[in-house]
This record gives sequence, structure tokens and C-alpha cells, in this order.
Amino acid sequence: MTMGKPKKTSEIIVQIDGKKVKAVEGMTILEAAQKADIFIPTLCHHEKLEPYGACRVCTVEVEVRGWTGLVAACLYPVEKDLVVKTRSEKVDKIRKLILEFLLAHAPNSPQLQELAQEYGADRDRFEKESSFCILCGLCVRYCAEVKKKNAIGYVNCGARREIRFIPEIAATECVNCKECFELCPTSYLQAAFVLTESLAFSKDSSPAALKK
Amino acid sequence: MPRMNSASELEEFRKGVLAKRDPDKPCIAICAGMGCLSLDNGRVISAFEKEINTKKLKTKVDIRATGCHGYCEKGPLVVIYPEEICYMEVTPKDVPEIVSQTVMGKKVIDRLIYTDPDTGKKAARQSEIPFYKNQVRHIISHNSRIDPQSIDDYLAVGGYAALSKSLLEMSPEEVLDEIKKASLRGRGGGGFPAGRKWETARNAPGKDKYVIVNAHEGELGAFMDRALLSGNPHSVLEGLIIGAYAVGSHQGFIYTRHDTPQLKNNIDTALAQAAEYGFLGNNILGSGFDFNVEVHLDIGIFVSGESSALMKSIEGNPPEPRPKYIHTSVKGIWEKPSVLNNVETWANVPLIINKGSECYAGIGTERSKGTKLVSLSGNIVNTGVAEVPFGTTIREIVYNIGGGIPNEKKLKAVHFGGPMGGSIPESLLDTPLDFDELSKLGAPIGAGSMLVLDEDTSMIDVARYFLDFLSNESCGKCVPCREGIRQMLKILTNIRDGKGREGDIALLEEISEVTSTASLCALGKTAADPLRSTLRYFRDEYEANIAKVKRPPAEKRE
Amino acid sequence: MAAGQPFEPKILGFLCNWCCYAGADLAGVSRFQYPPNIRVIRLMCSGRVDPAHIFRAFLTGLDAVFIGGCHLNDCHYVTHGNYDALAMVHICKKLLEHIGLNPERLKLEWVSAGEGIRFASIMNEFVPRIEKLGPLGKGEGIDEQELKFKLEAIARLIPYIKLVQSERLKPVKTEDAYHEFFTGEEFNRLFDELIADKLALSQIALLLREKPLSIREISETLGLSPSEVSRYLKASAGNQNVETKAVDKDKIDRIINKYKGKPNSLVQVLLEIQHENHWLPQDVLDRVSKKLDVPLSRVMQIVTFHKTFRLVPKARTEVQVCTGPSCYVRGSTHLLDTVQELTGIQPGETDPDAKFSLETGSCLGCCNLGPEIIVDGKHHGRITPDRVKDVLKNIK
Repeated sequence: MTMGKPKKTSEIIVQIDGKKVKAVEGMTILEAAQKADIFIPTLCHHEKLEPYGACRVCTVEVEVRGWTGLVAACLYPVEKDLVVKTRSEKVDKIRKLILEFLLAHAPNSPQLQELAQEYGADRDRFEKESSFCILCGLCVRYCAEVKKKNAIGYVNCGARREIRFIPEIAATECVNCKECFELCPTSYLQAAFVLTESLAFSKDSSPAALKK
Repeated sequence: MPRMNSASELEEFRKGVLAKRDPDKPCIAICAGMGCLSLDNGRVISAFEKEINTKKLKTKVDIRATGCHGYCEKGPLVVIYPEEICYMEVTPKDVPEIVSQTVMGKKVIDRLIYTDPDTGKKAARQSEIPFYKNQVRHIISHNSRIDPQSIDDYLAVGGYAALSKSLLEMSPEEVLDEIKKASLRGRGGGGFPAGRKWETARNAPGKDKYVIVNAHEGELGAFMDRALLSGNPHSVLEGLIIGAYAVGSHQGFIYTRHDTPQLKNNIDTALAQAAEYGFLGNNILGSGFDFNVEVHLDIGIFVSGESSALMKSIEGNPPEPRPKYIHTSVKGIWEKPSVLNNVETWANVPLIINKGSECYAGIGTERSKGTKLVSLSGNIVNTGVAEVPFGTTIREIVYNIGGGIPNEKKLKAVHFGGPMGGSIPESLLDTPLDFDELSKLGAPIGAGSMLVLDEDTSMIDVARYFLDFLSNESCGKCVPCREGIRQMLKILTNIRDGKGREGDIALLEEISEVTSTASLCALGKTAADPLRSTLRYFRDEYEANIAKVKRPPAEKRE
Repeated sequence: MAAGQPFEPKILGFLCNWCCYAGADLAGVSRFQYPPNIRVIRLMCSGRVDPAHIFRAFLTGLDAVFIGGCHLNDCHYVTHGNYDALAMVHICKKLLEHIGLNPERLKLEWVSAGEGIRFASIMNEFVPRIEKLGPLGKGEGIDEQELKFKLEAIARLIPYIKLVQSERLKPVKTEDAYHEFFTGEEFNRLFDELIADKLALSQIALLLREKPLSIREISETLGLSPSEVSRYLKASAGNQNVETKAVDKDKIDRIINKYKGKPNSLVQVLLEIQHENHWLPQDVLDRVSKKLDVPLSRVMQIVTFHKTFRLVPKARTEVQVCTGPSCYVRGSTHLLDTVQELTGIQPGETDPDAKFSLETGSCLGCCNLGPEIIVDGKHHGRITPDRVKDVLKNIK
């Protein structure tokens, strides 16, 4: 564990896929890999947001001081003597199954389809689920961390978890913003927004479709 | 009551308390634990109070509503001291007879004492009853003697002597050393060496450190933490203060359930009384050590028993766990070093200090020292809370203490660890109770709940039950857990309903492998464990259901 | 329409420019007779018809809608818009059925430019059929106000339905795939889970917009069972305005002030308020969010995380069935089934008269009593299904 000694950020050399990579203390494996132009797939990661570690697509195999494990590259901090494998039988198996899980929700998502090809994920392996949100959290986190409006959040937990707009805030803030819409890998964010609009916005701001 | 500021003041006070207590004075100890309270023990307690008043015996006889005695199956329980006569399934109608015959007349009422169901042999004294006799009760023994609302009761049995010794005769490093030498392992399910956790926190940078009692007890079928904390809150508190001293923390938290008002009440009273006596607050016992405790309630979510989720909850956030490689002992609540331990773990601390690590480590196995509280439930004759040394075999616990299986059924499996554990088949019943031995068999001891299953149980149903529970409790943040559990549950439900297909078992195994390696937290990682353990030992049941071989209805008894 | 006169259906037709409109033209030029009840709107492709158009047609009182397009795989546009029309019509028909209107009022036919006779014969069948069905709503026995209300509820939901359709209800564009999908179980399931539920919410939202109502009133007006209503209300936390006793604002404020300043006291505040008020109305959540300076989205996340927090008014008596593993092994499932049967409600719901609510609890720690039900804090342990009847009778 890195014991943060005050302020001097030291250089750490780690090994990723056989390549020696220069990283800086405090970096995650993902950041170090990106710096060295090594690709690790992600779904819930965004450069403007704090790493979340929810999709687990960035899982990589690590080995350090005799300990091996599977960790999320977007969260795991680099350390001395770290050896990382971004592809392996275990890693590929995990990514394939995660993609298949998500494809049951959003088979038409371009991001998912691109990755599915690479890992041989079968989009029809699981029965289609009704919800087409993949809960990557990009919308929620963007609104909370970048726009600081918290117009959208999570509700419920487990398999029933979903995103929901706060009608009072969305009615005033989202109309001129909608910056989160382009982050959504499916069209669920849009659907959630129009649903909130039609169900909960006050009478005066009801959608134009109703104007007789 | 002025605060006590030195070891000598404490001992003086303790002597005073003992002097006022006549060891021969009759005392009626009525179990007011949750199990007995739900059996309407409140009416028994009032009946005793009324009877004592009517017979004008108030100065001659003590009545004490105590913590959980442990033998929940036979509640309401009443123990008459000093003879230690134990009466079972007491009703208000029995009260006048008990007072006149036993308390005053020193005679035993035969119909109310324990009768062995096989031999018919009777046992009047608590220590002679097989359920109690076959235990080694170091932690929970005081439950039947003390009123949790009275700190004096705790002092009378030697309470807070360990605190005094630690603060005034030992340095924090020495205390830490003792805990390490005693090899105290966490009792909440992790089995992680407490000494090592404390040391990491102690050495972590920063002035602010926190210690936490995990009294959440989310594990299904476990109720011994509640019995211990509600019945003897001071023992846990004392351990917490000693631990805080060793770690260098000045703020503690007790994280407990919101749905048990009696428990919260007892904790609040204990904290208030401890503060009054000088065991909390500034300059405890004149040692110069300051320490305060806050109580936090949970909202009933299973995942909030997980250490990082719990800490998030204390911060006021939704209880979402963090990956384990960010050690909470270095970065916990508000990113400060935090030591989280289970109720039972903390209760072991005063024991270690009082007895000494060598003596403590004399009990148990090579890698699991001391005793363990277990909750017996399910298809078993004697449900309740028991305490056994590590190394006791499961068979001994189930039969000698648990009384075996009711209705002359055969035992099929014993399930440990609730939704994150596994089952042991009958053939492995001679396994000793031990963290590592049980882990090897795929049935980690967890917090200590033992769910006994008889021959009529469908193991597929059991696996499905736990997955169903977890599907409602998963926080839903990460894909392997949320989606993995969803899909496994669907498949298991199909298999259970006779709609299983070729390849289902292989698919279950594939999903469980991904879920257990790629999930963010322990909930996801262990979600498939009950399933895997049933596949390991009861695979034929699955295959039979898929091959649609007609089996006798393997459903629960009505 | 004066009384006594025979009913003349008013039908709106959307005909695609390239095929159907030309076909209708041909019928006219060739003097093939058909009833004059249809008013035609020409558009470039049948795929352009939007559900909003269809429902606006019904809202303005038209009795039927006809859509005519090119034969499948003959669409003049590379996007095969007629498949989109087909999908859209399947969904709209289901919606019509859902609110009690006869789905035959919406008809989709493929007519090519040379099929003048076919167009005429379709009309000659369609118009008498609608005549027989009667005026919109009246023919099905639905009152005018109620019909307008239900159609509006659908109309509000259309932007959402369109997105759902494009994401989820869109098979590969072949005739077989479309047929298989839209006549299959999966379509029914997805429709129920994605659209029917939201439709109920839409109706409830519309109702509550006018004025606050109780659960019973909502269920009677919409013809939903009270347990469904409470389920929907819970699911739409944040969008409801259910009538209850006015909340004592001072009491709430006192509780909030007790913890003021402490950033992590959100859960404690909510628990205490719920202990006092028995449930958490939306305005209370808003107040807590503002006063503790916690984003409302975080409050909502915590409050919906677990069933501990009640977002619908609580009943007088609470019935809890323990479903912990020890009770499960001793038969709690059968017990729960019996309780559900006797009370008519599901766990998490309240009965129509707000007399009692049913909840399940996972391991309440009294395993020696399994299986057990707890009525208002009183434990009834080692209980059998017959004794349950007596226990519940006593509540009634």
C-alpha cells in the first residue's frame, strides 16, 4: 500500500502486457495504460468524472509481490513491481460475460456492439430484459460532479435499480442543458427524460405534443 | 455519581457494590432477550413483580430482567439464584408457585425443569442441562446474571478491570501486542486477524482515527450479536475503549439496527452510565485518554453490514461498498483510518486482557483461538445461542447442544454463513469448528449462524432462496453482481420448477465464476457461494431435476 | 348527429403517396364505389404516421383511423418505412385494447398503386364494420369524459413510447420476424413491463394533477386494484400528491434542527421523521433535502434503497411475515401465501381501507418462533395457516 509521504510524487515503473511503463504515484492502471497507448476497454469511465468501477469491463489481471488477482483498472492504484495483463483467458471470459449481460438490456448500443465483436459476445445469449439502461452512471455522475445540479439520481437497489430525474430540477435545468444525453450509450436517458416530462412536469411546461 | 479517576477509586467502588450484595440473597433472573420477549415474557416479569410486592418480599428477593440466556427454544426462561435452578417455558400462572416453592421454600418444581427427551432424565441446575453443559461460556455466561440497564451489575462480575489495566498499567503498544499474541480473529465473518488490522490503523498517517462496532448482524439466521450486545453492552463497550486506546482513536461508532428498540435503549443507557462513571469522555480513569461514542442506526439493508458500505452509511451516504484494496484501516470514514470489528470480537478483548494472551490462546485450534458464539436455527430441536471453543465438531454442536433433528428426521446439511456461506453435508459433520477448515470445504463459518437442514429440504431451493434474498439486497452498482444474480436466479427458479435445461449447470458455473472474481465487493463475490457449495455436495439433486426424473416432492414442510 | 339518425362513422385515412394514395385515386377514376366516410391525408410514406397523430385523431372524436402503405419490401424508401408503420400499429392496437377500445378501429393495409379494386373493397368492408362497432367509446360503453381522460394519458406518454419502440420493440425488418415477434410472448411481456405500467402511472399522475385523492378513490376511478395503486405510487415516488392528513411541519423542523449541521445525519433524520409520521410524503423529503443541504437525488436514492422507508401512507396495523431462512425452512412461504390470500394484498402494499399493510421481514432474530407473523409488534410464533385466519380476523 502506498503510504502517502507528503507531496513528492515519485515515479513508479510498472509492467503492462510485457511493456515497461512509467507511471506516477497516485495514477490508476488505466491512466498509466492510456499514457502508454495501451488500450483497456471501459464503459463507465469518463475523463471528466471520478472513476466509478461499476461496469467491470476494465478488469485486468495483476500480480505484485506474489499476490495475483483480478481488479478494475480504473480504480486500482499503480505500485512498485506491479505486473499487469490486459488480456488473458480469465480477463476475456469476464469481459465476454459482462457484455452478454449488458447486451440483454441494450443490444443496439454501438459501444456494446463494438466490444461484443472483439470478445465474441453473443447478444442473444440471455433473454431480453425490459429495461434498456446499462446503469453505467455516466449521466448521474456528470450532473453531480460537472454540472453540480443533481437533476438525476439513482433509485431502488439491486436488479431494480434505475435512474430517475428529479422533476422539479429537471423542469428548469435540463431544458437548456442536456449535456448528459450524448454520454448515454443507449437511448434510455432520453426515454427517462421524456417520461419524467410527461408524468411530472407542471401543467405549464407540458410537452408541445399536447397543445391542441 | 462523581467520575472515577483512578484504578484504586474503581476498585474501591467495586468493593462497595459487592459489599451491598449478599451472594445468598435469592435472585429471580428472567430472560428478557428478544426470543423470550416475543414469547410474552413481559407478562411473566410483571407477574413476578406483582407477586413479590404482594408477598412483601421486595427487600428479601431481587428480580432482574437479564439479557438473553441462550436457550431460546425453551423460553420464557427463569433462573433462580443462588441455586441456579433453571425453569423453562414459564407462564404467568406458574409465578406464585415458583415464588413460594422455590424462592422461599427452596424446593424444585419438577414440571418446569429440563427433561431429556430421550432418557427422561431431569436437570434442575442450569449448569447440568446438556444445552449449557456442553458449551464453554466465556463471553455469554454473564448474560443470565446481569441486568443490561445496570452498570453496577457489570462491575459486580469484574467489569472494567481490563480497561483499568490497559489504560493505567499498559502502553497502547503492549495492548496491541497482547491482542496479536492471542491471535484474535474477527468474528463477523472475515476471520481477519484483529491485531493486524489494529496495527495497520495505528501506523497509518493522520491524527483522526475511528473505531467501529459492527452491530448490524445482517447475516440471516444470526442473532447472537444482538443477544450479546443487548444483554451485556458493557462488555462490548469495554473492548471498544481498550481497542481505541491501542489504535490511538478518540471517536467510536456503534452501528446498529433500527428495528430493535430494546437494543438501542440498552446501548444508550450503557453509554450514558459509562460516561457518568468516567469510562467515557475526557481523561478516562485519570489516564489522560479521551474517547467518545456515537450511535448510528442502519436502514435495514444487508449490504450495509459490509465494512466499506457501513462507513459510507455513517458518512450519511447511501451504503455503496468500495473495492477491498483500498483498505479501510487506512482510508475509512471520511478517508481516515478506521477499525471496524464485530460485536463479538470486541467482547473478546477484555477477556484477553484479563486472562492474558497465553491463557486465551490455550483454547481453540492452531489457527482459530478462543470461543465462538453460534446461532442454532432451522430444523433443530434446541434453537438458541451457544458458545463453544473452536475445534468442537459440528456433530457435537448439533447433537449434544442442539439436541439433534426434530420429528426423527435425518440431518441433510448444516448451512453456515447465510447468503454468503455454504452447506456441509452429513458426511462431513465431524469437521471441527474452525475458520480455515470450514473455508476449505466451501462453507466458511461467517458470523456463526448454523442453519440445520433435514432430509426433506431441497438444496436447490436453499440455494435459490439465498440468491433471491441477495437480489433484493445487492446495491446494484456493478454489473457482475446485479446481472449475475439476476440471471442465476432465473435459471435456478427454472430448475426448481422442473423447467431446467441441458447446459444450465454449466451456465450457472460460468456465471458464478465471473461473479465471484469480478464483483466490486464481498456481496457479489460470495453471492454464488451457497449455490457452489450445493453444487459441490448435492450435484445429483440438480441433475435429477434437469433430467426430470420424478422425485418425491422435495419441498418445505407445511 | 341528430338523435334518431343512423350513425355515420368519421374515419381518417393516412395514405402513402407512392402506392396507397395512387391506388385510391385509381379506384376513383375507375368508378369503383366505396362509402364516403373516409377523409384522406396524403403523406410520403406510411412510416411517417406518428402515434401522436393517431391518438389526436381519436381525441378529436374520429371513430376510426386507416393507414395505407406500400406492400412490405416494396417501400419506395430505403428505410422501409412501412415496417415502422407496422410496428407502430401493433403497439397502438395494444394500447387501444388496454384502455377498452376495440383495436379494429385502427386498420393498416398494404395497397399498391395498381390495386384500385382492392382499395375500394377494403373500404367497403371497413366502414360497415365501424358502423357496427358504433361511435368511439359509446360503442364500447365507455363514458365520454373517461375516454378523453384515458386517451390523454396515452397521448402524454407518446414520446416515451416511441423511444421504447425504437430501442426494444424493433425486430429485424423481415416479414417473418415481425410476425413472430408481434404475435409472441416476448412482445406481451415487454409491453406490460415497459408501457402498460407507465400508462397506469400516467393516468394516476393526470388524476392527481387535478386534486389530491386517496388510494381508494384512485383505485375506484381507474379500475385498478388498490394494491396495484399503492405499488404504482411507490414506484413513482416523487410524482405523487396523495391525499393524507396535513403533516405537522413544526414537528418535522424540530427533528431536522436537532441534527442540523451534521452532514451525516440524513438517515437518522429520516428514521426519526418516519417514526413520528409513519410515512414520508414528498414535501417532507423536499424539506429535509433543503434544510440539510443534501441533494434531493441522494435523499431519493436512500429512501428508495430499501423497503424500510414508506413512501405511501401507512395503514393502522402492520402485518409482518418473517421470511428468514429458519422460518423459510419451517414453512414461511406457505404462510405468506395464506396471508396474501386472506388479505388480498401483496407484500409492500396496503389494503383499500388503509386498515393494514403487509410486509415481509428477513430474519427478525426470533428463530425459535419460526414461522411467525408479527401484528403491530406482537409476535405470533410457531403459527399454522389456520391460526392465521383467526389472528387476521381479529384485526378486521
